[in-house]
Amino acid sequence: MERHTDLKGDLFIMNKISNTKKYTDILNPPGGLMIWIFTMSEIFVFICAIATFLYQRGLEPELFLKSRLELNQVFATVNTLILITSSFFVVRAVDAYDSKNKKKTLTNLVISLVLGLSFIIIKFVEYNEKASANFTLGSNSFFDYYWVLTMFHAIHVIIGLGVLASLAFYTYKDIEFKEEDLNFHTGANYWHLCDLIWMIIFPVIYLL
Amino acid sequence: MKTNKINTFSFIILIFLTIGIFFLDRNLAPASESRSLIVLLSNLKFALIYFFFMGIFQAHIFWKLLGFFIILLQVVFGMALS
Repeated sequence: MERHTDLKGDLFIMNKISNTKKYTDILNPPGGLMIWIFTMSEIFVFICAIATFLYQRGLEPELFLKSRLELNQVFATVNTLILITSSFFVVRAVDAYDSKNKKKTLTNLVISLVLGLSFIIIKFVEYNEKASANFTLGSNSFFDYYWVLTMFHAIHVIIGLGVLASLAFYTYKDIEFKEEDLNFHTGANYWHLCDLIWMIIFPVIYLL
Repeated sequence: MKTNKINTFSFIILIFLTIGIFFLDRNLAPASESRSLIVLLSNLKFALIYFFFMGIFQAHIFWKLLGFFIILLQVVFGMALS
């Protein structure tokens, strides 16, 4: 029984090493397979939404162009810069975590959290601006897409803030991740997913 | 160490691309076909995050090909919009 426990422990350590160093196996992408199945399904959901947006724009090109010009590109660009910087600090946190530097991991995670919160605050300032100008859900089909897609993304970011906070808590308390498909890299990749979704919807809604 | 440098370099490119896209948006006519340049640059940003920040450049070729397929889809849709 004791030998079995030791073997399990060795396997856990081996899995941990393979998670952090080797991703050449098709079933072992960075962060584990489950987060990648989730990432791909999310990306395809947004791509399908973009396809319906494209179809609707083909029906009402004038309305879509006029409505797009009502959006605030400065807010959106600042938010893009914030999200990219936040992702970069998550990358740094992952590196620090792999090299077992607790202080650096926590510092980078806190910076990412602050930047993520700034994204949400700016987003809500933007929403308030649009709502005040009576560009709400139901105003026209462009603003229906605008609200649904950006809100859906904002919900992902809010969940991501929770994920980053739990990673910071786990690191602070030195709690080990027990599962192969649920580790520090998994949480980090969820945050990058928020970035990827924004890279899909930002040009389509705000710029094209 | 090498990965750190790649990620820092990717981050700098991402910042420049974002600022560049902002100024392109300001200077191109709202319904111009030149906006397809914005599509290409936005997909470059997507690729940098997907391949470097998410570590897919170290992963199995299946995940790399999937990334290229998603980028191709986005380019097709983006070109149709621009």
